[in-house]
Amino acid sequence: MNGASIVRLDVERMARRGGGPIMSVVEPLEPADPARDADAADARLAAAFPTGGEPTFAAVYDRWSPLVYSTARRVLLDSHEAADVTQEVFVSAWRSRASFDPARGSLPGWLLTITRRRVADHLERRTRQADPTDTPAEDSAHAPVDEAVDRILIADELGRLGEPPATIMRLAFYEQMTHAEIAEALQLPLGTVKSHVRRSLQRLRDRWEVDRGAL
Amino acid sequence: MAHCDAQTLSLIAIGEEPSADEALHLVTCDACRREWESLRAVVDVARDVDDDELMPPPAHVWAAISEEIAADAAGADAGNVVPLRAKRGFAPWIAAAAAVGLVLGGVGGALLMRSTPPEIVASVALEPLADYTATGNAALEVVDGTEMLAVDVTGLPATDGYFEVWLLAPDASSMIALGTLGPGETAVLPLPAGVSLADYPVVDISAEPYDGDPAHSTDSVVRGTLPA
Repeated sequence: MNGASIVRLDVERMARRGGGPIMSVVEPLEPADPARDADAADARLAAAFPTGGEPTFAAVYDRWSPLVYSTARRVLLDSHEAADVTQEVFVSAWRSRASFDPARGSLPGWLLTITRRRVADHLERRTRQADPTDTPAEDSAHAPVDEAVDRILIADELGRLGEPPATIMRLAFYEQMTHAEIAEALQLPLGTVKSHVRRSLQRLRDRWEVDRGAL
Repeated sequence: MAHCDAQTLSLIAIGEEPSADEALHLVTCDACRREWESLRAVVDVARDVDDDELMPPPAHVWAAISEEIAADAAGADAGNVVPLRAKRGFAPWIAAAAAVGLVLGGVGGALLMRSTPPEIVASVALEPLADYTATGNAALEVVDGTEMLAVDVTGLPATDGYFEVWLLAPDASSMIALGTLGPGETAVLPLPAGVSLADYPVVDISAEPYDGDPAHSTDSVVRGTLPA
């Protein structure tokens, strides 16, 4: 990563000085991309899931159970019930794993579809158990499932950007820094920061659309 | 003016001031505005994300799931209609196997629980080396024609680095790095085509520092030899 940045820095400097073609500098087309490697690992796991055994299933659980649990927790506002939902979702996923087709949708999207149904069941059970003379619950205290899924998916992708994109995006999102301020703070060339902001933002959007598209 | 480039749209989406020309263009160009709005939607959600948004479920959840799916396997086989000329001892064998699977868990359990013909080519228990106490299982599975090594370990030591999965020659004179272990101490990694288990039968997991050196650290944590 550092190597790629340093090379790019040199190229920019030389360009500013008006230097000619720099034949001796090998400039990588794109900096190393840890997020892309993580995507490849996810894709392999999803491909292995329908026919894989328990170790594959355990790996699927390790990778995506935080999404399922956190979505349920955010909507139900109860960690015990969220744990129950997680158990129901993964037992159901194991039993119907043969029906998951990696070509038709993403595995997290598929798991979150099951999660939505289970969360809805739990909400309905609560309504039934509540005093029937109560006015139907508006559920104002519960974030709608879609909104919860959106936040969880973005949080998951943010955690997978790798460095330095993750730091760059944290500064842009939460410190509201401009790309020039970020470049200054991290001692990175402006072009590198701009390129990371574009790639990370597009990646977050694209992954988000793929994973929620299955809902 | 020409369309806004993707970098400019991204910077405007994170809240940077567009130039007067860019602002005017965004008002008049549907394509650029739609692109900007879709990126802006991501920024809005991301700024709303809490630090503790994403949490793993408590550990007891996985234990409950493994128990339930192991009971599934036992129940399904016990409940099967026994054909008239059933192979003697078939059903009890499966039930016993499932029960053993429940106890052993991991790769052994998965192997025994399988109702379809096993696609597991070979499996082995991983034993700790040196002062380590970690244990686990490794299985070579064929998934859609691709050989995959599935590993599942427990009790790994704390580390500032990460764990790498290797296949070693019997005398450890040569080795192949397959990939890193996931955060849950599991991994399913594809074998490079043309790699033969006869040449590299030893599954090895090493503790690796973040030193950028791709070579084996020589700090092996667990090891097991896949049967030929």
